[in-house]
Amino acid sequence: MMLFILFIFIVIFLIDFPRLIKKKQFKILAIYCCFYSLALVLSILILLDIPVTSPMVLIDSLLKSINLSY
Amino acid sequence: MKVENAKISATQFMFSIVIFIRSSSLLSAFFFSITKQDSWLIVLFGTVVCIPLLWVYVALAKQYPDKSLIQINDEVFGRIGGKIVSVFYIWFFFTLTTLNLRDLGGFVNKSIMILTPNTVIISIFIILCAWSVYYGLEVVTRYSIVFTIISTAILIVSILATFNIMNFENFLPIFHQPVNSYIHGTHIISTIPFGELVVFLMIAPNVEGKEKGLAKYFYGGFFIAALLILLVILRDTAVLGNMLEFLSLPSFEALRLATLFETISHIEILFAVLLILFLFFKISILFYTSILAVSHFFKIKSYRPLILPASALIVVYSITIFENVIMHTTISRGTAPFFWAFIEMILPFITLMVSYIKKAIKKAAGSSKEASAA
Repeated sequence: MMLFILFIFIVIFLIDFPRLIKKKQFKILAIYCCFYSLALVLSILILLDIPVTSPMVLIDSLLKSINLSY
Repeated sequence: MKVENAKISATQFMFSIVIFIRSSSLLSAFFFSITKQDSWLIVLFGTVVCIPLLWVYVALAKQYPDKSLIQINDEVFGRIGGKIVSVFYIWFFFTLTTLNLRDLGGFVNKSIMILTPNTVIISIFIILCAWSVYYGLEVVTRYSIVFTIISTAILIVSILATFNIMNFENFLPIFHQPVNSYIHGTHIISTIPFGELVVFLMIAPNVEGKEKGLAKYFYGGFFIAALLILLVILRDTAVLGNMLEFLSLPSFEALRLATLFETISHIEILFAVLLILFLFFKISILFYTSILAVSHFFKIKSYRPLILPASALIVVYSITIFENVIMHTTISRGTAPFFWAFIEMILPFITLMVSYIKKAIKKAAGSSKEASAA
């Protein structure tokens, strides 16, 4: 499973990354890397069964603590 | 600076709004269990509540005809303040994309492909959406009119097919719920399908001929969609009656009971096809606006290289966002209306007010300068 995920991420990497380097669009490249690494890290965390708290749940508990809920 | 030069016609814009709201008919289960047989009243209340909200959106789009929501924020709140407000919107767009994708995955998983893992359905679907987003706004919105015609035809057929099993006593008693549940239901419907129209402020600058009357098309699309949703809810209530509150997909079950000329039955597959069409459309628009928002946020020239990593992120986000459907429903009923209201209603309102105040100050400064010069 891990290999499969890595394979998909490598394919995604090879589609756009070399072209961006060639065109020297470094600003897009930086944002690209942010998205890419965030997705990669999250998917590895899911694979390793490490619980990830979603922002929705965080906001939910925050609003519940100030009684803003039905 | 423009990332996307594509132009869409005002009619396409209007029908995109129709499909966008209509696709949320899946979510009617959120308020069916709260207001029961009076849910159709909730649609009317929600429509009335959303008229001033639409006025805010239209006023913002008129004030800055060439700017998207993110660029408006930069203009109104300054560089740093604008970025802070924009972060909320970008998170909101991504979360909406994710939630709709998850709804779709859940629906396909529950009703059609029971043994396929949810993640596989979601991944394949996001590839399709990414493909359409890659070719731009025109491709995403081009089919809106066709989808609307198909969906209305299917809606009429389904009403005819279920007419013999409708029981109009199911609507009684009217106004018999506690007042709180009406407020709760109205809050849900005005934030979860209707208020999501804020994403169209990202698309509004690309509408052709908007100088003449964007408002007409904005309101027109909204009212057509509200009418269609009202028909769906009336049909479901008349067919299912008290069963409503226990079902997670009321429309699907209502169509399952329908038969046409004793030979055509199981037309719930029409609903499934329709829903997948709608959600494809909605997710494409949401995905497009979220990537466009990111590219406007960072002021980059092309959003296309970001599509693939963003789709990977959305798939992963959709797995982690909720542990299960129950959590999704509880949060959507309990606290989501509040923080959605913050993003959909309060933030645009503040933006509009600040822009008016800024304009007034500029005018006053200009006139005082003139006076001193004279």
